[in-house]
Amino acid sequence: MRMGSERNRQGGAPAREMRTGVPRPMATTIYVLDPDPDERKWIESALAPIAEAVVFFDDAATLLARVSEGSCLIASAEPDEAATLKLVRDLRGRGAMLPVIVLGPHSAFRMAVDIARLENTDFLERPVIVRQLRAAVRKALKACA
Amino acid sequence: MTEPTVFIIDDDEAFRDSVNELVGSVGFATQTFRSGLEFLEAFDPASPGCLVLDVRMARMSGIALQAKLKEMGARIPIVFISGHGDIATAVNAIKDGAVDFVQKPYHEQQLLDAINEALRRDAAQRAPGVDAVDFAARVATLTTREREVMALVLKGLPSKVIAKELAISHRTVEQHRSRLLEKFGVSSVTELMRLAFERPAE
Repeated sequence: MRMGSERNRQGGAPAREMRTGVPRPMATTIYVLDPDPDERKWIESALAPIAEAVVFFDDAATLLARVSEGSCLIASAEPDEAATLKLVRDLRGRGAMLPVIVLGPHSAFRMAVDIARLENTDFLERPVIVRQLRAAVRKALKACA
Repeated sequence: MTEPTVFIIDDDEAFRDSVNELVGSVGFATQTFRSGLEFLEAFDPASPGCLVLDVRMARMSGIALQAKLKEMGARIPIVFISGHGDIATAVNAIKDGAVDFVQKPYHEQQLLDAINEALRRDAAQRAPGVDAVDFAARVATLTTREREVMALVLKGLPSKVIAKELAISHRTVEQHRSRLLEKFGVSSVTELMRLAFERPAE
């Protein structure tokens, strides 16, 4: 599952730079907000069969500036729970209605409920397995595609 | 109009009593039930209110009662309470229309806020006369383009298809879409559809 991206391991920051090509309008581009290289690696391989492109972001500010073309966003919950909620509200405030799937720990129960109360959202409790993530993304894309 | 009632459903007597006391103390009418079945026996969809519903109960779970009410077409808002922080259950319950999901031991203010929101939602659902006038007035404030987008949104078409149909960008559609929601004072397309289609004829 995690094979194939081994050669990115050495990459450090440059390899995690986002891809800058503008995706075709109908292509499935999945945005991922997660600064952790290991997390990125398994998420990327998990999404490979269902996404034309996976674009990684280090922080919410960069994401907010470039979100208009994404088909779906997968966001790792920040330790600061309010920040993750704010990100989703900011997206909606900008008219970005793309589905958002937040990944977070069991302890983030309240945040999970608050996220779920927003439209077009889902929350998956870590640890998340590949099949679960794919199912959630497929469901999200279906709901709004 | 009848005064709204907070229906408290839990098989734990001590818990029923404590919620009953709290909710009663802020002036709401309450009724308590020991099970979902007992509630269904007494339930009249025409009477306004909301549910404070325990998730885990013998025989019929709170989740099963939610499904049953949905199947019956009853839209009485539900505030779930649970001693178990099961995230997947909570997220599903919310996506199925529950107003909130509060963990035991509950913070009093959090529970009261959720009940207030549930009662507001119930009152809004039950005020078709106001909605009808309001809806027409708001439609009148839309631009031509917003009206076009709304017609397609109400057909249930996704933004990407609407963009194609109107030959405008996906992003522009999303902007129109969020402005529409803003103008109608709703937070989702589902609610907009409700406003548009579920107003009983006066």
